[in-house]
Amino acid sequence: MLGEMLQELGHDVVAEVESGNEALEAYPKHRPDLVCLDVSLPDINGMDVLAKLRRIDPHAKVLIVTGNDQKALEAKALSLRALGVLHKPFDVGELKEMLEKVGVKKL
Amino acid sequence: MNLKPESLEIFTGLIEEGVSRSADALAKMSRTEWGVMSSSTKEIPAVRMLSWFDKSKVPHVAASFDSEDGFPMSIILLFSEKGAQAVTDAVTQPFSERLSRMNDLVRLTVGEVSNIVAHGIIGALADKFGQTVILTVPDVRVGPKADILAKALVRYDGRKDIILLSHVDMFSKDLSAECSIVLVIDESSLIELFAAAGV
Repeated sequence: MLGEMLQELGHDVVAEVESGNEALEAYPKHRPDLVCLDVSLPDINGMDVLAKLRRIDPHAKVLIVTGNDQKALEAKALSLRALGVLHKPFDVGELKEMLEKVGVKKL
Repeated sequence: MNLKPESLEIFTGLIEEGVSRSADALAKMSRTEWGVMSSSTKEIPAVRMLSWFDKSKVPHVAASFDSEDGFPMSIILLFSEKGAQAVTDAVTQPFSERLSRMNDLVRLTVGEVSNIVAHGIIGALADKFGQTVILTVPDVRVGPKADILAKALVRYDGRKDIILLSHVDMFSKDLSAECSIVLVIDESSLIELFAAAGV
C-alpha cells in the first residue's frame, strides 16, 4: 500500500523488503533518497535497523512509518535522526504532507 | 501474584484509554465512525482461563504480539469466527472492489485491527510508565479458542507472569462485535514499573 501511494505521488520505489535484515542488505545496493521504515518487523525492530543504518550511512534519510504512537519511541526515533514519524493508518494526502514537511522532493 | 486492587484499577483505566485511542485509527482505516469500549478487566490464572475457553470448540481467530526487550509482555486478541468476519466486512467495505481478489482477507484484517488495538493499549501503558515497548508483527491463528490461546502463551511462565483478561466491544455502522484481550505481563517488571510510578 505504501509503495503504491509513493508511486501515486510520483516517486520511484527502488526496493520493497519484508524485514530489517533485508532492508540493511538492500540499502547499500540502492542508496535510496528516502527509506520508509516500520518499527515492528519480523526479525529486528525498526529502531535497531535505524541505528545500524546510521553506521552504513550517517546521512541516510529515514521516515519512520508505524502504528506505534508512544511518546518515548518518537523521541528515540528523532534522537537517531529520523526525519519524522508518520503514524498508521494514513492516507495519500497525509503521506504527501509529511514528505513535504521533511523536504523529500520528487525526482 | 495477585495484583493489588489499586494496581488492577490502574490497568483497567489504561486498557480503557488504550482501546478508546484505537477507535480513531479504526475509523480512519475504515472511513466510518467506530466505538471501541472495554467492559471488564480481571486477573485470572492461566489454568482457569484455558479450562474455561476449552468449553467452546467453535473456531476463533486470534492475533498475538510479544514485546521485545525492555518490558516483557504478550498481548492476544481473540475474535469468534463470526466476529472476525463482521470486523473484516466493516473494515474492508470501502475497498471491497480492490480487495476482492485477496486471499486470507479475514486473517489479514484481524491482524491489522488487532495491531491497532494492541498498539493503543501498549501505547497507553508505555506512556503512563515512560517506557518504550515495541511489539512484534501479529501472529494470526485460527482454531478452537483454548488451542490457539495455548499456542500464543508459549512464553508464559506461571512462576513469574500474571494474566489479565479483558472484554472489548466494537461497533460501527453495520457492526457489532466483541473480542477478548489477554495480557501476559512479567511480574518483576511490573513491580519495578509500579514502584517507579509510586503505585
